[in-house]
Amino acid sequence: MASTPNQPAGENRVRIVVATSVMLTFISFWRAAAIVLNDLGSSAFYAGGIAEQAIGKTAPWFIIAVMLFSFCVRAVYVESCSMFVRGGVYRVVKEALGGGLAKLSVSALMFDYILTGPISGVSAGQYIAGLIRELIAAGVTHHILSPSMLHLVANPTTFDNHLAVLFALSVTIFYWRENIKGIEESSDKALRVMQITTVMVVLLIGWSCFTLVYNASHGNPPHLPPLPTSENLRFDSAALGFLKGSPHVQAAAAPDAAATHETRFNFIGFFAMFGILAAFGHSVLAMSGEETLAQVNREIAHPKLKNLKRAALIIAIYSFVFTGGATLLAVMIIPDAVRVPVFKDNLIAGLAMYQAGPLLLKLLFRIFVVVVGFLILSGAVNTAIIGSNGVLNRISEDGVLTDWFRRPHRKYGTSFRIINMVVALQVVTIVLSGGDVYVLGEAYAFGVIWSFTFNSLAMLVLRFKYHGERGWKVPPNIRIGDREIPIGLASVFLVLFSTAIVNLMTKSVATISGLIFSAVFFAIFTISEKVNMRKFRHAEQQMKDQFQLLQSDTVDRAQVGIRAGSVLVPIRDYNALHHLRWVLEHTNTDEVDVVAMAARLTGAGAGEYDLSMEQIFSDYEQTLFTRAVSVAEGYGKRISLLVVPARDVWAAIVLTANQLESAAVVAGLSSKMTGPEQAFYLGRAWESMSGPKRQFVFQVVSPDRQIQTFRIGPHTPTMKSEDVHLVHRIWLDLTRLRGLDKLHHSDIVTLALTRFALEYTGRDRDEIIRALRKIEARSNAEKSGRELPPGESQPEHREPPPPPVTGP
Amino acid sequence: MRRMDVLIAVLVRIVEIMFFVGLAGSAVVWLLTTVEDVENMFSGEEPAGGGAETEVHQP
Repeated sequence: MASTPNQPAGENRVRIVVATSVMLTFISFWRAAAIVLNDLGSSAFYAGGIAEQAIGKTAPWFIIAVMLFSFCVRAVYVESCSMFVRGGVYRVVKEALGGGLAKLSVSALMFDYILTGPISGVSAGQYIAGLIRELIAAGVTHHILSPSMLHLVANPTTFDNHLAVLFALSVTIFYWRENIKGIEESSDKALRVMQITTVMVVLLIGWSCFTLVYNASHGNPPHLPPLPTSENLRFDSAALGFLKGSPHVQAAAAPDAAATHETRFNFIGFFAMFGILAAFGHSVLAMSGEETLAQVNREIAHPKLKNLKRAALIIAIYSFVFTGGATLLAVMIIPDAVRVPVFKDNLIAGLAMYQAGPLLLKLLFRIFVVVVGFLILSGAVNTAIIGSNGVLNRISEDGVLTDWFRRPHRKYGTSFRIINMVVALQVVTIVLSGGDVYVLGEAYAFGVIWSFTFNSLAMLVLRFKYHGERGWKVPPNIRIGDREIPIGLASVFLVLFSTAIVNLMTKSVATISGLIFSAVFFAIFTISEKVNMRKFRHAEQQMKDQFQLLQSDTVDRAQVGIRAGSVLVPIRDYNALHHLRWVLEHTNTDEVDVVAMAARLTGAGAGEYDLSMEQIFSDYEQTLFTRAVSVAEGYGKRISLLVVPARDVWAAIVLTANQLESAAVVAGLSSKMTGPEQAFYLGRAWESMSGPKRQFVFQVVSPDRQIQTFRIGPHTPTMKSEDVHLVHRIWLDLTRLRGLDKLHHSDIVTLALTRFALEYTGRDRDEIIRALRKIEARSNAEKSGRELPPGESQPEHREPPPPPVTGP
Repeated sequence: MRRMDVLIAVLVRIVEIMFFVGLAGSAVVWLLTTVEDVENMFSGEEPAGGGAETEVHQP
């Protein structure tokens, strides 16, 4: 019977240690801020245009107000993250208000995530289409292109919308494929995108300020937008929602009515003040993306709370300057006649074209804006897929979605059914929108405002329900007797709740589509949960019969019940356990323990909650371990079983190997990468791990039993026989000299290395690098056509291999 | 019908009051948190910058 060495007598069940702490590496607050800004910053490209279409020229003031208010929403998220490491909506609402409302809030969040992809893709498409039209026009004007080209763009709206749909579909399908394969999303990429975006923002604001001064000096002084009073609001008929045709609304002349040729409306009489709320509600999508803060919190390095607050401040200031600043400058610089009619869907591109300066420079800047827009908005499409997948995975882990959704892809190990469902919904949304950013933006606001509202309500309830210590609280709080009144938190909730209610009335598209979507998702969650509960009772009984789950915060030898020097075998696919078989064939388990480890990958963008033991050890792990145990039983050997939650499988393997003091890690050959590539990623994770670190051997077993061996960590290099002979010849020669008869071989190597290090850090560095490159090229040429033999070392750090990975 | 109008009017006023009272409170939240965050940003303790990069993998 396969079991651990310390299995209690008479106990027939297999003991499995289930670690509940996720194996993580950590990121700085700058990287955390960059990840969030990739989502939050993307709304700057469309929020201003949508708001101005909805409420008229006062829009920048409302966008600025929303961006200032986002500082307060961020404070609520900081408090929730200080209570729960994963302080996302689902976790917080479930804790405070129960499972029903948690499912409802997550349905709204899903609506938000599902729409993030289409709105970002379509918006990027609009920027590209606008640029193509501009380039065609410039080409025809300068006789570079034939005038017949103008026919292509004879109807700008149709051209832009069709191209936007095409582009959004292409990007979504591209990222669908990448996500199915298991895309790698690194904070490095996010940081780089934000660096490029920052260059654009600085140029945009600097050049805009120059333009304002230039225009003023040429008799065109800048005018601020009309103040945000109820009289100055000019609503589009679509922005009145269910109040269209109401006696409280009347037609009003807009300052730019001549340009738009549209009738605008205003709230009057008793409803005059209501217009301010409606205008605020039409601008809330500018702060979409705050939820991502809760998702990255878990990965933020120590001191966590302090760094979280730093990241949150950077995010708030950056998005305020970018989104608020760009919208304000657009209204001040782009003439009324073209701002909404021509640039409503690509406002920042319009801003680039109306700067003071030569046309060529402006066109070049517009190209830069489109490139940055493409990067950040395409990234948001990917974030939307990853986020939705992450949230649904979490829900699935909580038993709210059946395991059918979470079953891994046969080849890539990703939750392909969830990804397929999310992308299918996004594709349908893109096609239905017809490339209209405004319609998408209106609907998008539903998910944004309701997920924030649920989160703040839950946090408010928790103030009364949970009296334990918190890392931080939203100020101010007033104490009356024993009771603490959360004035700040209540204020934020009131603004969010009232805005959400107003949006229900003024955003008919959002209300209808949001309610239908949320109701459908809520029904799916509720039915799935019921099905799961029945199934769980059966599975629980089976599990009780076969496995004994031992929960442990950390992984150590005592918990797993093994000796030092064990062999760690990561397993994932129950149809591919050839490497476990190989290990069992070659290991005497009386002397060396074998640990089969399943890394339970927790999804990116899933910032919801810690996993409970039953969630980590799901149906899939049960099947996986049943197969592993049966393989061990086949060999009459015993293995120990371990489940480790992880965000990065490589980090999980090296951390576990280190904590278990394993001498070897044996993995199966990945379907996506070569053995050296697997070793490269494992070596990189080893380097990222904090000390004390132990070296180990990494072996990759292919299905045809070819073995590749690598050493992870600093180790004695495998020396060629000619090098050993060279050292020996030098030693023979030197020991003949007087006073050197006690010399060792190692003394010669030490001196050679010391001199090498001196030359490498001195003038001869370039020459050494050239010489090493020659050796490397020769070695590669020799190795081409043959695999590395077992036992041969591989350097840990080679040039990064191209494909990303999800697991060995 | 008249009763319905009154009801809507009352509801609208309640929503407006909630919004503006909340907005006033939020202004205080904004002020207090921003001051605290700016102090925190420039406080003596070394931030954990340049840490190891996390590779985010999907399940």
